[in-house]
Amino acid sequence: MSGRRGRAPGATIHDVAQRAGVSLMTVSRVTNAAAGVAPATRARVQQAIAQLGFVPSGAARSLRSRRSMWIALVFQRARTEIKVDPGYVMELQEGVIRRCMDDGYHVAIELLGADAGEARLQLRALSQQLAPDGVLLAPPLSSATTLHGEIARLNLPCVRIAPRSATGNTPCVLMDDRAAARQMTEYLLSHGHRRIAFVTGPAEHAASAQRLAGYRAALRAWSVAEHPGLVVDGDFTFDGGRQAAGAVLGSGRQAPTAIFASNDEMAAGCLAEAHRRGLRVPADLSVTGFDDTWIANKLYPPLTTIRQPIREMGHAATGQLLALIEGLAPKQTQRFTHQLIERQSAAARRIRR
Amino acid sequence: MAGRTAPRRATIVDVAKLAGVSIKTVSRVTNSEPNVRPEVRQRVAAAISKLGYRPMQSARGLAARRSGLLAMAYGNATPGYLMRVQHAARQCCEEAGYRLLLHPCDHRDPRLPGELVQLAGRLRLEGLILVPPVSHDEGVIAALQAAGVPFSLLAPQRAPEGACAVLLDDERGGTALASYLIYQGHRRIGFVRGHPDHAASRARLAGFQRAMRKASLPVDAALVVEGDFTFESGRTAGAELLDRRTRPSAIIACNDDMAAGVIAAAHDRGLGIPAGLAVCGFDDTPLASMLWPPLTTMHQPIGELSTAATQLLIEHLRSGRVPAGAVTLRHELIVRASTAGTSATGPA
Repeated sequence: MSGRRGRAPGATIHDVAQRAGVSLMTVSRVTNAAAGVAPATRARVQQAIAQLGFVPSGAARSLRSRRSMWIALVFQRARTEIKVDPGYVMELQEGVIRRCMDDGYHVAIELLGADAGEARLQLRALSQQLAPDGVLLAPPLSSATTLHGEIARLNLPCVRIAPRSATGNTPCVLMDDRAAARQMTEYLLSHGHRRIAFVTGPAEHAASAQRLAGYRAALRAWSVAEHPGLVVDGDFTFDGGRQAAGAVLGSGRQAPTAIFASNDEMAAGCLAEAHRRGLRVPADLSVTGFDDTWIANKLYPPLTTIRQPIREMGHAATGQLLALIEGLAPKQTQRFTHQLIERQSAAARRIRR
Repeated sequence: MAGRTAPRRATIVDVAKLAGVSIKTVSRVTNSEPNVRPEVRQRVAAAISKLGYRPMQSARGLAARRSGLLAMAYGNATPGYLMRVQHAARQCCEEAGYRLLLHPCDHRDPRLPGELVQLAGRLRLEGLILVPPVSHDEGVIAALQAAGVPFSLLAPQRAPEGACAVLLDDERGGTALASYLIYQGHRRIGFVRGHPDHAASRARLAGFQRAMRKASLPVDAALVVEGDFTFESGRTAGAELLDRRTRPSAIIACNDDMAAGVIAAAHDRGLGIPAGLAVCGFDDTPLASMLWPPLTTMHQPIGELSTAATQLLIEHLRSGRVPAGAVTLRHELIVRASTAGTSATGPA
């Protein structure tokens, strides 16, 4: 089918996409009467087409035919299933899938081995079997530089989610974990707490170091000395949080009046340990988390935490990837802002009797 | 039409005649093509199941349908539940050389049956795994059957004949949990129901009532309170039960999220658990062991359910045989510190 029939000069599929605020693929789906476009979106595209006098060409059709219409969302395989925070994974996955559905793409969720060599082989196999149009790297893989070379060799469009650093050849979505952790620590400081314990995440997650750095920055800003015994290793799990709380709460008069756990599951563990010791939260001990996943408001007391817009980040990262696939230049870095969610697990420090 | 079942295999002509549509329309429905009105699609589906009509596989190019792709259709559920369901199904798929597509959907959307049939056609899906509440949708089931799309049902409310389905004996679970509490000495037991649309909630309540009757205990209708499976509804229901003049000594909630709400309501009132109130949930989601006190609950074998549903489907695809029938799995009682008789440490 030859394209250029009486098209208004300059009106391209790009113009239609821009005016309708959708991707090229969506325009192409509408002009090809393909399914999977929401009625409201379809109407908007048709309106833009009418306004611009755009006549679709065969080019849009071939654009679609060259694609597999699959993208891969890649996680690192956890040693055990339960180690993965289901709240984080499901939120991210949901944002990605929803964005893909808007444009008729499908998502394959792929788990790569923790070993770098194994992960590279799996990625190569994936690209042969599925021929995805692009990949999204979830943390901690988004910081794994060993994988980036392989992705470049395979010529796969790629977007990183929450990597250690925004610098790199591929676009990314980011949240400022350091600023968020600093705000939470300052929140506790402003409530009179001076002995604030911090439970870290595992080292392979870039966020772990950034959250710890935020905690330290807040202490420095408030000229509060860091007690070395109050920074405890955690692993983002409930049990890890419980053990960490046990370690700091068992230290008698040196015990903290607040614990800032660097994710919600560990904060849940801290709450359980406090309850077990007969400590009242927040009267005797404040506990705060990070992420605001599905458990945060079901714990007792409901958890004060940092809301990380995980779903939105997944959605945006997918938008960037689809733009890359269509040969556009998406924003290199999209930053998201956190929010401190004040519930009932933290309060002003009580003067010790 | 003859009074007894004709020995002859039903043809597309028979289906068209019974449904009062053209042959082309029947073929549109069985080939998952769009542009068939839902009522017509349903009428054709009814005729197909009544006549036991099976479209000729050869006519549809069996070989061309080998895409190695299965899809899981799911609606709103807690992340912990979905994660386990997806994890188990993905593992089965990997082992059998299939890829699993995840398809979130709105189970209240009347267009869902058509959407799933179209999805199957467009991606040449070899089969679908339906997760509650999608597996409860009769419209979806009828449309997939009519279109000849193989599927497997995870914990449906009813298992259609000849379909792959894995059931959970919710009534038995309700009985087991109530019997445990009765054995612990509880006589006044409150019950927080789940969403009224869910058959699981009704079955769990029926099981609870059966256990009470068996122990010759009265079922006080005032102690059965409505909930909708959310934490907030559990908290409200818990408050309602605990503010009664004669409050129950134990409360069963139809899922863990609502049990967490009941626990919060008890904490709000300074009631010790389990000394002042025993609390039980259903499902054993990751939340159950993260609460204080850790929750006694009926473990729903989510991973096993999903594995079985996926395996049934894959076996069916490979053998081409009609599945033997539904498989039924059971809950398992997990006793933690929210009920007496355990080594609960710390103050009551």
